[in-house]
Amino acid sequence: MTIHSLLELTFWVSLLAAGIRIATPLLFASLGEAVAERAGLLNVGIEGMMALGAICGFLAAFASGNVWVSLLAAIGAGALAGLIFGLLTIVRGADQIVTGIVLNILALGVASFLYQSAFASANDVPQLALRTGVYALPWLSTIPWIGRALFVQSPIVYLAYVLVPIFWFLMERTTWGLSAKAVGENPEAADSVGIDVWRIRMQAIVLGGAMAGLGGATIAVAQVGAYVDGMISGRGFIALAIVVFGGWSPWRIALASLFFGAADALQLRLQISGIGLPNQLLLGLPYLLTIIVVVFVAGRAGYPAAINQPYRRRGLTILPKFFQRMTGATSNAAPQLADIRATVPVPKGGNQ
Amino acid sequence: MSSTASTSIVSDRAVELFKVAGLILLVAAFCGILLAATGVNPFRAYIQILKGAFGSLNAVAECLVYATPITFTALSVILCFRCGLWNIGADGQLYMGAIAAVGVGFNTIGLPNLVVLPAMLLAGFAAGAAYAAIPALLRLRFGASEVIVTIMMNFLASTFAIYLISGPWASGITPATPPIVPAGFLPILIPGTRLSANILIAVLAAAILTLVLSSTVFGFRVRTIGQNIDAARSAGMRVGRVMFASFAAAGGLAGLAGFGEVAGIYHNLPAGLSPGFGYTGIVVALLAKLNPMRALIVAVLLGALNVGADSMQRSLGVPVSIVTIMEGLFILLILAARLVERP
Amino acid sequence: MSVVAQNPPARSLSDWTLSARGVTKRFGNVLANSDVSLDLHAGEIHALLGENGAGKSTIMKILYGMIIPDEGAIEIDGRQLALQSPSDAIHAGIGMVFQHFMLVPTLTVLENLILGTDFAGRFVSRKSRARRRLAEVARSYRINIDFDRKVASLSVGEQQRVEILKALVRGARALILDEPTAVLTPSEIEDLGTTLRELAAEGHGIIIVTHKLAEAMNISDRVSVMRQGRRVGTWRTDTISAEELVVQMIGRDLDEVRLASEHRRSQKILEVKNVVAMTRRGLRGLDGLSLSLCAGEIVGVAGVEGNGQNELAACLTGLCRPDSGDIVFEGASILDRSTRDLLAAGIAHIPEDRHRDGAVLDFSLAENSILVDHGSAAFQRYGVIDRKRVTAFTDRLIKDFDIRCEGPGAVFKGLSGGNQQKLVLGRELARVPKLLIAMQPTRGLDVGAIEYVHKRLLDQRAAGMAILLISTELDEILALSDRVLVLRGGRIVGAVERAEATKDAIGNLMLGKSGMAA
Repeated sequence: MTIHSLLELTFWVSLLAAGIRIATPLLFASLGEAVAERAGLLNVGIEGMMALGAICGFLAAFASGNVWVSLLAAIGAGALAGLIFGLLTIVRGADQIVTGIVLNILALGVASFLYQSAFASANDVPQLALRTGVYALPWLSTIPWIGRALFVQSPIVYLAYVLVPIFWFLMERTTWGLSAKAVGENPEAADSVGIDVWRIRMQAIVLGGAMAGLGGATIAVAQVGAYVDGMISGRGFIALAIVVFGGWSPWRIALASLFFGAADALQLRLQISGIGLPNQLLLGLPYLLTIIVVVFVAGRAGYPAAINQPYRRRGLTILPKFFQRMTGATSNAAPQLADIRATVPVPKGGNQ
Repeated sequence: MSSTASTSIVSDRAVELFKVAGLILLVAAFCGILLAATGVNPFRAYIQILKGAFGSLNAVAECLVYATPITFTALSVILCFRCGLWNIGADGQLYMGAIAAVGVGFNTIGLPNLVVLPAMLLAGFAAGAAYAAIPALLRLRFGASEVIVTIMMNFLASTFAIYLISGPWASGITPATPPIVPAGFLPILIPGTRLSANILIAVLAAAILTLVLSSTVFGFRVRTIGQNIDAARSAGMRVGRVMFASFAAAGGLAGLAGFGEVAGIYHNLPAGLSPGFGYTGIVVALLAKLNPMRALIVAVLLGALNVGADSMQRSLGVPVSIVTIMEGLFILLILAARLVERP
Repeated sequence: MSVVAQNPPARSLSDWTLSARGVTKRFGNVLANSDVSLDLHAGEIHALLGENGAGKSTIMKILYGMIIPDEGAIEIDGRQLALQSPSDAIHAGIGMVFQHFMLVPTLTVLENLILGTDFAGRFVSRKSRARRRLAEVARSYRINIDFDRKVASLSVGEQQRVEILKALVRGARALILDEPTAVLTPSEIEDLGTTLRELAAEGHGIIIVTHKLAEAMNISDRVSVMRQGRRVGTWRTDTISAEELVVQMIGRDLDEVRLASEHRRSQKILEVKNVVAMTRRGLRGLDGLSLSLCAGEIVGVAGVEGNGQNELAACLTGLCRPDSGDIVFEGASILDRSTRDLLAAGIAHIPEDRHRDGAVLDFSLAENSILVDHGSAAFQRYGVIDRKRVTAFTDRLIKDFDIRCEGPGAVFKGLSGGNQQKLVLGRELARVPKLLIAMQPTRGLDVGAIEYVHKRLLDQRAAGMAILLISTELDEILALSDRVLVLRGGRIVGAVERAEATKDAIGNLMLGKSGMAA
């Protein structure tokens, strides 16, 4: 490309297409993290969880030859990592930032160990033979200009398109979403109306971890086709910024991810074109952008009030309800004051 | 002046040590199973780690060499945490410190030989402090989360270092800069090893930090702000300034880590100078319960583990990452057992 | 939500009894409740009286399933309930309105009402469905709130009504209200009383937990008193007098209110001129406030919580800068000076929340005693703290103020509330300030400690200190002040000299019924 190609529409269309491709793993990780943060959990361990997703997805793809199996494996690995994060921060009250950093270290070590154990004897870097393929959506891809960018993509990108409205629906139109928002802002209030704060937070972080795993696998399986130590190269941290930039809203997060993806795509093109800017200056661009974004947004949209604050209720046993039933700690014979179900409000006059 | 302890038949310290020992055994057992699954005899592996770490004078020296930079970054983290701030950016500050030290180290136009080393040290500290001042300012003026900003700046710093090594400061031979002048070399303490006076600087830094925190007005202010920022404000403390100063000083300490690596070991700026020393420093700080002198000891232990792991990989072919897993698992269990307090 | 199964209902909807039997609860060394038995009948309003720390909140949280007792049981009509969490209590028809509202400020009223329920559906949340039914209920109880407003934008009284409605729509027959009037204006208190009486008439049972004697007597049918974790008695309200209740609450008669001796007013030391200060929410925290203070006098600032007390203290100590107006201390404006300057210039501050603003809980007594003055030449040289001098200073404080502790090295949080406050007070007085701003200086203290603090304040006044006493306890204001100023809506709406100061006069000013218009 040259400076002149900036004037051609085809350049921008292909930039958009590439931007969407690059943005997809970021989007996955950010969507999950936004939900977790809304529920009060700040996970700086996204990077490690993405690496876990990358290695598990890669190994599963290598073994099974099927993309969807590999994505499922990655989701499982990420969910497990999220579970561990949740157990430590929610149940044991450990600090979230510290736990995230330690999980990063651990996950990167595990990923590296798995890779080296699996391919110890290999002499060169094993590559995935499978390709996810690119599909053009029947009618949508014929829309002039943007149709080619948006609707001629791999099925994983279409998955991302579908997940954005699903996540919006989850947070805004379901009971779970409302409870999650309450739990992140004022867990005591949520507890006082009978919401199980711990359970909701666990569910949120497991979802966050699963999405991070999905993001990592997308990079390894759909983009690079191999696993390399350090291949996530900070994208997990950029997801944290995207969440803030996107104001914790799935639609804006999608736009923010696209913004970063496009910037990265632009940087790649500039690199190849040999336009006299040094390589590293362009490599540093996303990180610089993140700083600017965080400074710009800070103080306007705030993190949920209860972020990084473990919730403890004094005097209550920690055993989940399942164990309580087993040990007989709950009686099923509790009488009630009135046969009123929660859905029927008491009419005035007290006749029921 | 600090608080009095509780009394019981078995002291709290003993119980704690007992728990820690139990966790170590647990981790060793779990990783032993992992190793066995990949066809390695775990006992041979562990013994090789111990042999590799303490088996020779050179090995012990290497443990101390490894321990030095993570001591500096741990001290940096400790100072910040005590003031209620997160310094996740020690890696980046380390790189800037190294860059500044190298910059002085081969641009010593007219400086007498005796002054080169102190100049490099000061440059390293100043560069680290200046690099930390940026996120500190952004946090204090704009409320920008220093967690995200410092992580981003880590990447920026390492990218900048690579740029220098590939571009303006290329040596043409190795992925590193040309060497600094011999006057900038830290003296070796044990001939035949890589152990330099760097370790002494680290010990001194730990001692100074301990004194500052416990006995100076500045240290008092830092601790008060870290424990209760509202009380600090009501008592008239200038919270913003103290936070800024402690963050910058912490950056300087991390910058010293960079200086140490340049002046003590590499004598130039290599690519990949820091394999995550900043993050390891956080781990060390936690395990040391935010106590500077204890951080030294923890750093040495970690150093032993890593040096032993290298030896284990060389002789048995076991991937070094098993040790990373051990470290990570150990701290997770420590967190789960609530053996460290929330900073 | 709850594992409690459906059960045959209680005897009848308008005749049931909720009771606690032999409840005991310990928190570490503290015996919060000791063999407490209490009951509530349908249709009654039952007040639970007691000083701060008497154990009222604990027994209420046990009734609501938030705390599990060590011994004892909660029963309805004699059959035991298993309460493991608030959702069990809600399911059993028990509702609670907390002193600190359990509302999520960033959500709307409607969202807060349906939180934790399936009013709008179990999985998908169709708010329109819930809105209609809930609006009907609200109308029937005459609670009129806009469902779509964010809770953060509601007034305190409105938020409380949302809380009550929240409990009612969940089928609460028994309502527990924890210190409901602490943050209400007198007219809002009247409205609350009306609402509660209506609810009782419809067969609800209401427990009001409070430490305010007058309100308890005004509204209740029966009153129980708790003291030091025990229930000391229950009486029908019309059969017991206020004085007897006081005796029950504190175990002995209150001393006669001490009349401060005549004082000579000397020169003006502080003048606040028409100060306007905005709160973070953009509301006018101080709205043209003016007052003046002379050396050797105690001026009491009375008012309901939330009328500008915090903003006033913050402006006087340099923690907040007024948007307009001026504050003059000893002839010089303080507007551009830092907190440290002001503290060094002779202003001292006893904060409202000693745990948050006054001391560091995990520091030792010695460290807390130099919290403000650590930088002075008395305690440090060249930036290094002189431990010996600090210890000696702390020893003196311990002796002078009779602080019960193990020594200067003891941890602050290990002391009782009274001793903690004594240290904070002692530290500030030892600086010999010219102006002392005391906010709620005896909150949370037992009667003995209250007397002690009052005595020291009067001593300092006699020695020439100017004291600005900001308190919501009218009794305290009346006992100590030479002049009483009434704070309402961010400005002083009335000033009353000691001789004319009565609760009625001040209460009227707080309501805006006489004196200067609010």
